Amino acid sequence: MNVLDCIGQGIFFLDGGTGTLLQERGLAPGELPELWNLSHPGEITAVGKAYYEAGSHAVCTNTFGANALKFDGNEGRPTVEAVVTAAVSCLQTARSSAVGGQAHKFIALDVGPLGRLMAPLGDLAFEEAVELFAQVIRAGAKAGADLVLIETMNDCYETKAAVLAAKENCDLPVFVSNVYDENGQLMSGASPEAMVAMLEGLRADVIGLNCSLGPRQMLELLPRFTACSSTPLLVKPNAGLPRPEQGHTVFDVGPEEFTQVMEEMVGRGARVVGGCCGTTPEYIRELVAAASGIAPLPVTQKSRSVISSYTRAISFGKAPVLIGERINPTGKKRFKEALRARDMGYVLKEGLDQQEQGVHVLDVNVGLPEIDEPAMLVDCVRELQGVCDLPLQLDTSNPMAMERAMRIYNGKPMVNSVNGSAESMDAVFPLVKKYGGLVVCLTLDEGGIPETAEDRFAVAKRIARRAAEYGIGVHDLIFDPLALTISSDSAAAQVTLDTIPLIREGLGACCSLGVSNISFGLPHRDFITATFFTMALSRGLDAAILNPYSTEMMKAYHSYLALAGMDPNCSSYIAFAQNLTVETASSAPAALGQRPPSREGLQGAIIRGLQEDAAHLAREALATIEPLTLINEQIVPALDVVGQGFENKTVFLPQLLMSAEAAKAAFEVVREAMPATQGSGPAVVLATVKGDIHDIGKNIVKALMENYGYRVIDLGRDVPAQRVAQAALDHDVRLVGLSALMTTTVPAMAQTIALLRQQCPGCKVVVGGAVLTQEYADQIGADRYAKNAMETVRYAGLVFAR
Amino acid sequence: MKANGRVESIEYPASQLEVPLLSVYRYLGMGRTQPDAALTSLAEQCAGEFQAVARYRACRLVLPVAVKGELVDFGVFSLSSKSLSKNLSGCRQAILFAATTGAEGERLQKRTAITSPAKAVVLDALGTAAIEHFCDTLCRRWAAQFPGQRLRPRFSPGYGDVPLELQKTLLSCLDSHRKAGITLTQSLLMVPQKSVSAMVGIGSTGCETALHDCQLCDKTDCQFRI
Repeated sequence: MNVLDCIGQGIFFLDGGTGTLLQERGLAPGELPELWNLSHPGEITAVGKAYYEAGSHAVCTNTFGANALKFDGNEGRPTVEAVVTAAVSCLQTARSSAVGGQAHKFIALDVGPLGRLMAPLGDLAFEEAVELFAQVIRAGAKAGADLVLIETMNDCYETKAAVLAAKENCDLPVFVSNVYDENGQLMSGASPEAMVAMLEGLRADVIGLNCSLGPRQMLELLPRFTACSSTPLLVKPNAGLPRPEQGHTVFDVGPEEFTQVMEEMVGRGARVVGGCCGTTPEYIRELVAAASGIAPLPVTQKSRSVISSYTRAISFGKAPVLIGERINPTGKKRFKEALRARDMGYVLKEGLDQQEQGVHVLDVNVGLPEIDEPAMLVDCVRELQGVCDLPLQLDTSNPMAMERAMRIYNGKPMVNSVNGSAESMDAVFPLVKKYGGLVVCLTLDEGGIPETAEDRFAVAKRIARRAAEYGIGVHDLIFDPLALTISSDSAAAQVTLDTIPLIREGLGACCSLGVSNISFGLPHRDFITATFFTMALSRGLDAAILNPYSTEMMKAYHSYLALAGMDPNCSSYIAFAQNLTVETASSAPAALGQRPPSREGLQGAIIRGLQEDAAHLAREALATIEPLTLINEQIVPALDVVGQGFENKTVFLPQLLMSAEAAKAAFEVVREAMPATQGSGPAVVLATVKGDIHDIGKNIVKALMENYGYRVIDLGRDVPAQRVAQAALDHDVRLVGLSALMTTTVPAMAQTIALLRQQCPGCKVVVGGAVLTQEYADQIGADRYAKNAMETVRYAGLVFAR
Repeated sequence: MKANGRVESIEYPASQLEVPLLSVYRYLGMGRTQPDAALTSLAEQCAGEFQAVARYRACRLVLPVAVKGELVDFGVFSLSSKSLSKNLSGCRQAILFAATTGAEGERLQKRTAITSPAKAVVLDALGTAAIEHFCDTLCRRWAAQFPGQRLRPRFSPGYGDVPLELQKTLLSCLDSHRKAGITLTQSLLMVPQKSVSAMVGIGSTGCETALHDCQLCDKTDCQFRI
């Protein structure tokens, strides 16, 4: 019988803790337990045997920390393969020599966290993590493990890397267990709902939680899993909470109490059970004796339409979901410019601003004919999910871009889109099957857009049938009945609206609409779009892609929620309406204007750091003053005043930057008025060097340089030398700024400078960062050490004056 | 399999920690200059936002320590260091710990860097003040657990002649990834960035304060000195 059949038949028992057992057998503190697979196979086998005899269906291999970061085969250390193979072999011996226990005994290949944090917060690249896990999994599968248990994961993204590695490198069932705190969050912030969404999307076979908490605390979290999971649940608590006692650690829950709570857990839906830290074969023996007879609750299909980010899940079908459409270059000159210049800051700000407006999901479309769309989409997704906790809707018609973005997405994405054509479905559905996703299905096919609601519904049904063949349930489809402009066909809106209930009732699936099209070609489009949105909502629309800056749209949304009884006490409507009044009634500047105005007008606004005033005054000034004159005679002199103040220590960093922000706001206005050729000053490349992930100093320099009219090519953090040199060549720059915070990364800075000397001999290099000194800078061959951002700006002035 | 069962894991509610704004201004390079109303209000706003997402976590191991000449032996690892042996001289026990303000505070700072660089530098300084204050709070609390003894000043890898390389040993001993969510990059930076790891001697004699004091430091040209 295989593992999953066994789980289908009843409660499945795992093992308990091993740490304390091995310590009792002589494992020294600080010694790597995995080494014992090779040095003390008898002890490892004995522990496994004890668990099999206690009644565990599956025992975990002693491979929790077995990865190539620790076992690289160098300097006498064994390889991952050696450690894993030995571990499996110990359990094979244990299994065959065990007396009694379950009729079917399995070996679980134990996969623990890598101990390094994933990028972008940490420096472990996603594919590097996948490969590290893959090595363990290939070795384990080859050696004869029966299932993969990915456990004690405290980061959603690392969990995804491990599951993908398992799915891509073996055919074994994959169990996934995460560590939650008492509030039901992973260390990285994910909720149970978010984890279940992602893991079911990745087709994990068993999902659950282990370690950190005792059984009672897990019991409290269990309902959150049973409410959303359609997958068997695993629960492996600690023996309560640890406390030090005479140099030893003791746990406060004994076998009897443990068993009692675990029985309750089984009664409420746990299917795969065992123990973690502090539990022993005795705990498992009592648990097996007590729980074997309990008829397990059936695992039911929840059919939730859900997506997730690295922290949270969003489900469709109840309150309408707003999807922000602004990350999209179509018809936006400034956005196109930003994409071509790889100005990630601009794209990210567009995302964060929409979040501020109240959208629940961000659509991400970065398709432009002249750019490498797969690379750009991957970069944008990676950067967005590094700072923004909204789930993303990946919007591309390029299958390669879609696959690469789905792969590195931290959660379960929304996928935009598939249509009823065979070509489209054959490209998209395999990706959804592999990576998981909620797919937007356009109700059109090879024949175009059907003219009637019935025909669009027919396309929807065909799409659902094809998806089912791929094993994708209808709950993972969300249909777009297509809004076409009423300016060319006055019946267009009715057809779209009539399709919504057909799909919702006929297929039991959700509907989403890009609502804006409806008003194309008409004046004051927002009036029509917002009313159409309201009409669609009342027909059951579950989600809309819209412009959240449109007051009309947000009015429609909040009013609808209040009218539809989805806004208790109308509180969200009231908050929205009150904010609206404040915004429109008052144009008073933010309360940052306390510094005495040394100058009036635009200069004064910049000096005092008043963004809105600066933008407003710049716009006014443009009526009479040429853009370049305005920059040279107003903006730059104001910045100089603040810069000098900073150098004289009468103005401090935050104030300097407030002025920079105000100047930037003025610049944005001036830029719109300027012909494209005039807009950009000389280009400079900025980067934090390889190995260094601190970027605050570099960002300060960037803000100021932009103010002084430089076109900053910001390569970000942890940038390899070759990328810096390449960028310097590509953009033909005369100045490169490098930052490093730690002594450990100064060598990387030296290498980068050496490479620049070789490949771009004409280019000057200015360096800065906490550990740098003039002496260091000289040693590594920099042209200039800049103590702070103003010094960098001054030096750039010198370089470009020559 | 997870070793180091003896490591204690600590979580501290943000509501019990008030980030000292004076330190924030100091980390902003303002020395003793009074912030204006605009900056005060920005700092207060940042403190509110930071505290709402910060997760103060720490992990600790109390160990016997033997100091012989320049050799410092914690049992689980030992090293030879002039400065650390001086710091720990006369101590028979020591606390090894790592503490952090959590990843969400860092994400907040990064998010803010996109929308407002000014606010981002204030948040950065605030994070530094927060982790220092958290460590001070922990050390004060721990000091009370050793009546009649006092804690030595915190000593971190990278101080004096102790190489930063020691981070690897120290953090792995503390199982800091699992116990507090603190990891190391390959270039030995801690992530989340607003984290501290340190060794603190427990001794009955010749002790200095465990808290921060600029007068104890000989770097007189430090831009943060007050």
